Amino acid sequence: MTNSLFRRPRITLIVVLLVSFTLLSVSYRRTPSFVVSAKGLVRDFVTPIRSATTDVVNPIYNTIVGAFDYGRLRAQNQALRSQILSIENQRVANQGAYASMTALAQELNIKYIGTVKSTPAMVISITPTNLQLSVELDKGSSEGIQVGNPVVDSLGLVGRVIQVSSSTSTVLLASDPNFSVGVRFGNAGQIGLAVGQGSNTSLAVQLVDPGTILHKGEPMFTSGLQGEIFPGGIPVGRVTQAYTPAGGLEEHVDIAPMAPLDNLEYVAVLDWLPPSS
Amino acid sequence: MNRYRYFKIPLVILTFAAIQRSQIGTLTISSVHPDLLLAGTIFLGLTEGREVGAVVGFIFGLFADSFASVPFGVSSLVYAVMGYIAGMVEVTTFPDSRLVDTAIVAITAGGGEAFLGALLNVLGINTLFDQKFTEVVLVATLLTVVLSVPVVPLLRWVLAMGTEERPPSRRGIRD
Repeated sequence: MTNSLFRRPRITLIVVLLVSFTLLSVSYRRTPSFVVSAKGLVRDFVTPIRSATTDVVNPIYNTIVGAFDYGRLRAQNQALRSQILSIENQRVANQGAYASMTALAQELNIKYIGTVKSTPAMVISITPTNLQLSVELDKGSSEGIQVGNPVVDSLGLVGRVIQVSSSTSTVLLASDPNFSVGVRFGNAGQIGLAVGQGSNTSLAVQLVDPGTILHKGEPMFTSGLQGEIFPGGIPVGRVTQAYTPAGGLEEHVDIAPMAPLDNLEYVAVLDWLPPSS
Repeated sequence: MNRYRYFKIPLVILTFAAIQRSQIGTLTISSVHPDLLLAGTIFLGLTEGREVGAVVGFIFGLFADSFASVPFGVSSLVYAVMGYIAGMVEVTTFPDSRLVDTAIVAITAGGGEAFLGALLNVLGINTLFDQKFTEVVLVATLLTVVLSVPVVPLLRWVLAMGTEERPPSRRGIRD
């Protein structure tokens, strides 16, 4: 009689666990290129299936959401209309200032977002996982997108590209707990480190000296310091609260992201990589 | 095993993967996504047994890891174990009832999410589990349990279609 450990279901389990452990150990420190290629192949394979499923599922999904959420959608529609009007007015007012700033940036050889080339892309999906906060774009390496490229929308920083296949790319959102970015604020150009804290929550700004005066609504921009993974001057967020905790060694600062990270549609991928890359 | 099952199981796997990647997978409750891949693993383990549960869990795990920047193999390790545990119902003498099925789904779904969160934490990988461990485990488990009510009987029916050799329940099959 065969030992019960060597019955077929157990052997199957042992084999799949061994393969999983092997994959885990080879990709734990640094993802090997064959794993990157395999992940890219899976994403490329799934993209047409995802599109076909979306075509089937979307009408049902939209009907359900529309039926239960009509009031909110209508209010959102009105808010967006008024926002478009205000942005249009602002755009006209900003045209002159933008031209002057771009000229000045070029003259001083400053890498500012306005001088960086970008690729427009559409958000095709929120990555359906609880492991990270990310979205997928309809453009990939065939359009020149690379891992590490910053992603912005018309209002500010969205995140950075973390995975690329030939036709799609994955963007880690600024709200993800693994995301961090150096920020600059105030007239004196003080700096801090903004860190994601999860969906629907503000970003925490660390390393701010206690007693620093910050006003609610004050904007913060990417610092663009040497070694930073983003170019300087991209709006990141606005201060929602700032106070010095009793006995705290740094100021507690929260900022609300400028970009609507839970409701993204179109974004721009900046053709920019850190100087060391 | 009926020869049609060799085609049906991959089709079921593809269907779960496609639904997870569709807009349904992006729905959230309290910022927590349903884990349809773990749910699919558990349902197939429950209806098809330990071996299928482990293999399907491994495949779904690799699929899940392909879309996240976590080390390859984390989810496949967890899902394979949970698929196997769900399939262990075939070697038990539990009564063949929906209540027992629901209890198994709840235990394996909750255990799977908790195991995944704990493993990621041990590996030092910062994820949403760090921010809201209890919320993710509870919401994902609840959604899996709710989904199991129509899907498990449907799966049993689909997989048994065209075969007469398979009993309606796999309870009591001893190895």
